[in-house]
Amino acid sequence: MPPGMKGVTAMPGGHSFAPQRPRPADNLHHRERWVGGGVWVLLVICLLSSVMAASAWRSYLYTASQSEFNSRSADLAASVESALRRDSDFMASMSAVMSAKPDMTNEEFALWLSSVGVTYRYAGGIGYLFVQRVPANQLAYFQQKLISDPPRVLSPSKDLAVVPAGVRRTYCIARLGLSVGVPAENAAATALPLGYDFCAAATASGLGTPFVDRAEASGAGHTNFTVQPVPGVSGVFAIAAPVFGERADIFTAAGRNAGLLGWALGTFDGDAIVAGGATSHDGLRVEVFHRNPGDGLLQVAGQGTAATNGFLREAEVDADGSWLVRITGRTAGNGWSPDTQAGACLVAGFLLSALLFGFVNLLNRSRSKAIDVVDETTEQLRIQSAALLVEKSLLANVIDNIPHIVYWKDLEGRYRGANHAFLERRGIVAGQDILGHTDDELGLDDLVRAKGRELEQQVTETGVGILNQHVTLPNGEGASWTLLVSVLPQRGPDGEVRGLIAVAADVTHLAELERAMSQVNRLESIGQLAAGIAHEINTPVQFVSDNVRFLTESFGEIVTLLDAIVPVLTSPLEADSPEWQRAREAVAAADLAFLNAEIPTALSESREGLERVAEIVRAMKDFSHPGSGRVDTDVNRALESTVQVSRNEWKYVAELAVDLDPRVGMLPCFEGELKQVILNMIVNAAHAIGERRSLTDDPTMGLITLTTRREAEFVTIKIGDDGSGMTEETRRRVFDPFFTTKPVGKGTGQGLSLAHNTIVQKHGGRIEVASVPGQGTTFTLFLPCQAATEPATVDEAALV
Amino acid sequence: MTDVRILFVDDEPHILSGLRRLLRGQSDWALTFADGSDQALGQLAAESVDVIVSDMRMPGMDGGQLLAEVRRLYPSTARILLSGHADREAIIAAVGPTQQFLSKPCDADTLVSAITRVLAVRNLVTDERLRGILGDVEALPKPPSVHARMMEVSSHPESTLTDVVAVLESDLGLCAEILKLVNSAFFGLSRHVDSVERAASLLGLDTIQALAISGQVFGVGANTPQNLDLLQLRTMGMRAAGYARTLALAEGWSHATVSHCFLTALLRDLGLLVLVANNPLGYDEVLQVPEEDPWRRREAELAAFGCTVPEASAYLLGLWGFAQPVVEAMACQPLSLDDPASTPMAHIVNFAHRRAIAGSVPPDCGPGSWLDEARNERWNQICDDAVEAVAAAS
Repeated sequence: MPPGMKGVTAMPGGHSFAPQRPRPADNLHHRERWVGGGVWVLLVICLLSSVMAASAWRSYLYTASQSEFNSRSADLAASVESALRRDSDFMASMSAVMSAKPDMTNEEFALWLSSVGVTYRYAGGIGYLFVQRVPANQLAYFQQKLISDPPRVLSPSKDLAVVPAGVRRTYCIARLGLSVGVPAENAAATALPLGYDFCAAATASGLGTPFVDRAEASGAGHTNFTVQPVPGVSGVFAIAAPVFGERADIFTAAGRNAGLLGWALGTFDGDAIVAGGATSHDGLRVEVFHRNPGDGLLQVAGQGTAATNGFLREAEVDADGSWLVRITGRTAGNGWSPDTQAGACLVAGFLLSALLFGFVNLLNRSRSKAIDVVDETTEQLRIQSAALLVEKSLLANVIDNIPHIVYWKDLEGRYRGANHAFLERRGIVAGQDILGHTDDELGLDDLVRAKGRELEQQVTETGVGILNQHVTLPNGEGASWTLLVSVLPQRGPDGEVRGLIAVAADVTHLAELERAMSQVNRLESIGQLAAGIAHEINTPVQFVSDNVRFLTESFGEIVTLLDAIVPVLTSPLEADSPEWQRAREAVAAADLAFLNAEIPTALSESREGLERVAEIVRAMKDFSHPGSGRVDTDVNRALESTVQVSRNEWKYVAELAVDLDPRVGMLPCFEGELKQVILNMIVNAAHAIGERRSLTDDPTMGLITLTTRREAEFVTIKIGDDGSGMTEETRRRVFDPFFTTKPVGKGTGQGLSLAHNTIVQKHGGRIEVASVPGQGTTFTLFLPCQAATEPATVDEAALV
Repeated sequence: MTDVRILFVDDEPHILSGLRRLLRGQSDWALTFADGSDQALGQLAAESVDVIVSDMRMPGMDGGQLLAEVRRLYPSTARILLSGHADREAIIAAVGPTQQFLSKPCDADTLVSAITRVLAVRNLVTDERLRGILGDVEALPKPPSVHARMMEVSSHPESTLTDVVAVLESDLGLCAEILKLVNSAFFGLSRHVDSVERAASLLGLDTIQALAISGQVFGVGANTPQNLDLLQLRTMGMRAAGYARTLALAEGWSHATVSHCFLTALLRDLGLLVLVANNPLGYDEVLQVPEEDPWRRREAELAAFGCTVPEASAYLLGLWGFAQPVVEAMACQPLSLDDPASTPMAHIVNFAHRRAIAGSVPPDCGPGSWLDEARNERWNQICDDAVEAVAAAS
């Protein structure tokens, strides 16, 4: 590749595949592993954080619970203690009263109760009090019953009332109504007092009746009870004291229910509290223990065992420590225990960690997947770009090595590329860069340039490519080149013409070959014409030889006559001498009139015949003259000789009318080929007429017209016939090589194709065809008057 | 003797005037001229014509078409084509109706002699009707199987000349037709031809195939009469021709004469093909007479057909332009030994024919005859030797 060609290939020199570099993907993979490890570390950190947070939370909760428990349990303990103390006091009083007056009626008891001011003690939130003697063996049951089904304030009464036992055998010994501070309108609303039926239930359960019912009916629906211990049955009294909040509004149901904190229980056997009760309240378990001096701690509540964990408050109720209130609680309020909460916190932490880990892992996986895709794409791109480079190099190499001239330009005429053949042909110095330069800048200004510019301009203006145009140019060495040039518009994606691509093949050898071939073709057609020409010649030869024979015989007769006459004429003989006699006989025998008439005719006909032969021979010679390149030619004479040699082809089917314009004169032509074209067309016309005649069975002679006209820029040659004509389908294909409508063996289908080649490509002219089926066909050949479009060919002609 | 009328047809008037001047010395010929087919047919309608000489290519109806029309309307008129055209296809198209072909430029002697010979054979058959029958012949009768084989061989692209010759030799009609083509200046081959094979190779395979396919010759011809044994006829003809050639060679005659002997012996009974086709019942009568008695046979032929078989054959060959010695030697068969026309060639043909029919030929010599007893004996010997040689060879 010459240095000048560097511009053609934008390739880096000696390119091969790029050397192997560390692939960026490797780094990505490293990072990916590192990130993978990071995820695990993150997980561990999350878990540890969860554990620490849970532990901190637990201890915080624990501390908070402890302090809350402390404050609440202190209040509760104080409340329970005061209730117990009050009950104890009351019991002591009641025992004293009962021992002092064992036969006290209910009414008296009620009066006593009023007098001791129990109600006052409970005023301001304390509703009522049960006092019930419970057999010792039923104490646990009683307590359980109280807990599970605590007595309710059913109806506060204005007056102290004793719950009637009636048929229901209620053993509640007293029911303390709310009589103090209760608004009258509220008291009136509670007319029906109700009792507690535990005693009846105890009786029914077969536990025996611990107390004798001494009730008797009193006025106003009140029943009086006498509470007497049954001899032989030991029993205790039980007191259940409801514990209310300080500010509960006892006079509304909501207030009462809301304010009920629990029950303080006490059991006593007449003079002392013997056991503590227990209840749970607001998450706190309250247990009351009585400590006998001898027995230690007595646990009263069945379920009231001390909690194994949680908080514990024990409070001595009285000074001697025989009563103990124990309050246990696990939590401060209504939530979960600190352990549970810490556990939950831990679990939540673990869950969050797991979620986070999963999420990060997912992210990481997506990321590595994305990296893989990028990686793969990059690799493919790399392979493709390498393949493209190879392809490009190959293509550049192919273009460069095409033995035809190839170049391409933009619309401003600047070279955008060219191959080696172009540079060599244009004589461009090695190393000179032509890219981006115009012909003028490159100093290329010659006939090649002029012709090239003409074609390029045409393509630029019309946007239509020029295909395979023959261009003959001097090559500067006395000979000529023939180029087969194609100039094509180079269009952008939008279809706009962006530039031009030109390809020129040097067909000088082919053109020579073609010339030789067309000579061969002509000889061939002469061969085909030979039979007809032989006939054309045979006819005159036949009658000339007949006439010559006749003339020979006639001359013999004349000689005989002369032989007889001459002696008479040359000697003075008598008219009756034998010589005269012979002469007279000879004259009579000779058909002189016939000879007189026939000999001149025979001679003139013979002369005509010989002229005809000479004419045919001349036309043959003329027709078979190959011509030499494109030279000034007498077109009319060329046509006449063609008509002459083809006479036998048409004379039996048609007249041939010739109308030649003398102004046509000389025209630059490839004479031999032009005659060949005319011959083909005349023969075709004759065939078309023959076909018409045989198809219509009409023996009328056809008419072939041959007309030439000189026009401004063209000489037209019109060949018309009134033959069978062509269909549109045929008309469109007439110039296709090997297209023929003639039967096999009659036509090769090359005649009109050759005609097109000759007239259009070689002469730069054109052919028009007009045809009407059944009426005839007219071919009109347009030959440019001046070979102005091909200035070089004149030079070439002069050179040849 | 009334003048014979000869009609020349040519679209070139100079040709006609040249002919008129040329032939003005033929005082007993009434020359008429026509410048085209239409005019020629008009003249024919007006007055009968003995010989028509037409150009080939003419505007309007061409020579071939004209002669076909003449054959149809006036079969007894002898038809000669005189053409400068060398186009094989045009000739093939005209072969059928044309009896002789002369090519331009044609010198006066050739033309005059051709016409003269045609006129001469007209004396052999004087009956106008019979002339018509013989003149109407285009294709000789041949067995359909032979025609089918001919067509098959002709249309097969891989056929060789040998295949074609084998078919041609299998039938007398085909032999006659190909020899007619070769001997009558068609295709410009005026040669002495002594075998079908030679004729075929002269014409060439392409031409024979083209002719066969065109149907102009080698056609199926008229129906073969029941009583005509074509195979027998062909076998006898070939055998006689073989003897004639052998004897002529033994006599040391020229190649041309050997050929003539062969042709005459081969085609001696050619006329029978036409005559029997036109009169099968008459041939029954003829068959009553044994072949071995040529004179009685001759009488029967004359009675049945109006002319002898050799006369009819000679007439056909004369019309077709076969060489004069062939026509003459054939016309005088069976040979009357004291006949002044009894040339040595006529003797050989006669001998060969009789030998082919009956084997050995007894001496039948008149006083002073050229064919004396010794020669007769020698000829029998030669024929015996030839038969033996053939038998030995096979």
